[in-house]
Amino acid sequence: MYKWAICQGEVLPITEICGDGKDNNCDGKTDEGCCNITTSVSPTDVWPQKAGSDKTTSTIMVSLNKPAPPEGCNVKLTIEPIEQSGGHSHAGSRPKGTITPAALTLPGGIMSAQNATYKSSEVSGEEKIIANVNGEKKAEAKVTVKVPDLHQLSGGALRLTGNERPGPGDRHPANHYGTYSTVVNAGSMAADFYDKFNATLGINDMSLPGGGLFDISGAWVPPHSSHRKGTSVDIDRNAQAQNGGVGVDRNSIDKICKKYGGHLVRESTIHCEFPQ
Amino acid sequence: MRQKRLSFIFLIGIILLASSSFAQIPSPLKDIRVTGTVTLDNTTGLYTYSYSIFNPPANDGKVFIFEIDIVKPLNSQELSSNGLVIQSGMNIQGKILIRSFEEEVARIKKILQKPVIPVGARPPLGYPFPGWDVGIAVMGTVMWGGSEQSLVLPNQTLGGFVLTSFGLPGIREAKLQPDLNVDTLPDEYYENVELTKQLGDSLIYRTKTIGPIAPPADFKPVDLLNYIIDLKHQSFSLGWIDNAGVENSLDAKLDNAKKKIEEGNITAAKNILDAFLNEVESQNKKHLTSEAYALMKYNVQYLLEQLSK
Repeated sequence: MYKWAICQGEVLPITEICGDGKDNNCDGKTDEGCCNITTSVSPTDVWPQKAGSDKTTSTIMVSLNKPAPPEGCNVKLTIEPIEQSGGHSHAGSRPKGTITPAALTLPGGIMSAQNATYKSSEVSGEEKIIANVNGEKKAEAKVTVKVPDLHQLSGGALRLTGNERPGPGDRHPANHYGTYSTVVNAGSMAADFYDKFNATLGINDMSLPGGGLFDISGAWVPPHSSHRKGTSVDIDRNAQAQNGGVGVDRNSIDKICKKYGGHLVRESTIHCEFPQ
Repeated sequence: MRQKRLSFIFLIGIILLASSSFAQIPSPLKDIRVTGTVTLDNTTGLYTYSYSIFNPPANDGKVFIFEIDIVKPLNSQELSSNGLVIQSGMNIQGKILIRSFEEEVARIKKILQKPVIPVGARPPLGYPFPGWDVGIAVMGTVMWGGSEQSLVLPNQTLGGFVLTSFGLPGIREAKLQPDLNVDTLPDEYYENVELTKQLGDSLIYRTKTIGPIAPPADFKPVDLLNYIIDLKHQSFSLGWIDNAGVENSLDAKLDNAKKKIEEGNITAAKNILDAFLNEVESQNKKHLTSEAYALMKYNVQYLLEQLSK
């Protein structure tokens, strides 16, 4: 003679949970009615705006892993900048890129994919592209905004200056990046100056590690309208000799700057601009 | 009333004076005369090229940079750099800075845009520190640069720009730039890289002068003679030969020498070239400038040496 015992470990039908691969509502299908999407960007690296290249856009591809539910999938794309990236160690309302169109509809019942275009802002750094469906984050991809192949200036007969500005925090701790030729040129320029004046040039602002807007005030706006692509070198108007500071005259730097293929540009320091 | 008007005029004058002393954009340099002379040390085979610059009174810019192209021609001979030194200028202790050509090139090797022929160089001396400097620039030129107290003012001539090389005299491009004080440019130039570059480029004066060239690696007498004929034509176009009769006479001799070489009659060709050299000597400083004289003399001498081998 049998009798019913107490049911243990009972699983009742519930609302389908997307993406867990189970038939939660016991209708014989798994993950039905869900928008299973992935997102990718190509290329993953783009240039910032106003840095001398038109390679500032990337294609965002949103694709379904499974057929969309009958009502389709409405995908909203947003951008989330990654703080502290691109050499900016300061907060505030950091500019970010744009996405066109920012909303995509993947038709119901079929597997499909759609594209949108990402366009960078003037600021270098990393940004997350987030794909939301019904307010829920479903997928993300990362795009890096930078001027490629910038190198850090170091060593030689020079001092690195300009990264100790007064203000909260260290806004741009690495401000001496340049293209390979700019870094070599700046070092050679300092060596020539040392030979002539027996004093060490102070190399002030160059570019940030990823180039782009160099907002020395930390407010995401100029005054620096150049210094974006790794070809600008600011030189302090005082050099350091053994027995104290010596004035650096524009004329002497102009000569050396020209010798290395550059030209001076009006700025508060002495700005030598080298070719790309 | 009259006093008020005078005050007003005075005020306007002060404003104009202040604005003109701040925003100073020199006019483009024009008609700079670069004179080049060449001497040859017959024992070493080293040529010395000496230049002077005349800045005409009509210019308002001071000559600040003087450059001569020294790019190595394709398929040209590897010239010796033996003994070639760059006296780059005076340092703050008053000592002349000296580097060998090899040392100078090693400093810029990674960024040198084009191969150059070996040269020595020195700047005009005798100016107070910092004075004139010279070095090999990354674009493949020898570049002299002045300082505030030593620039070539309008209506001034400055000599003492010297190059040494084992390269034969050829026609080279020279570039002269005025001193452009970017600190005094109007506000639209502030951190404006492109606008400043355009302005700087618009002020440059380009001309031709004499300078060292490496001969072709593969020597053929007729090719060299054709090259000399071309040099002579260019010299006439540049005004370095100022008399058509003299040009025609030189032309005839070179054409005859060419015919004799083509016929294989080297002795006859050499005799004609000797006569050519005599005419070049006799026309020196008459209808041939120092540039035309050096081009004709040293290239034909080189041809004669090669024909005698």
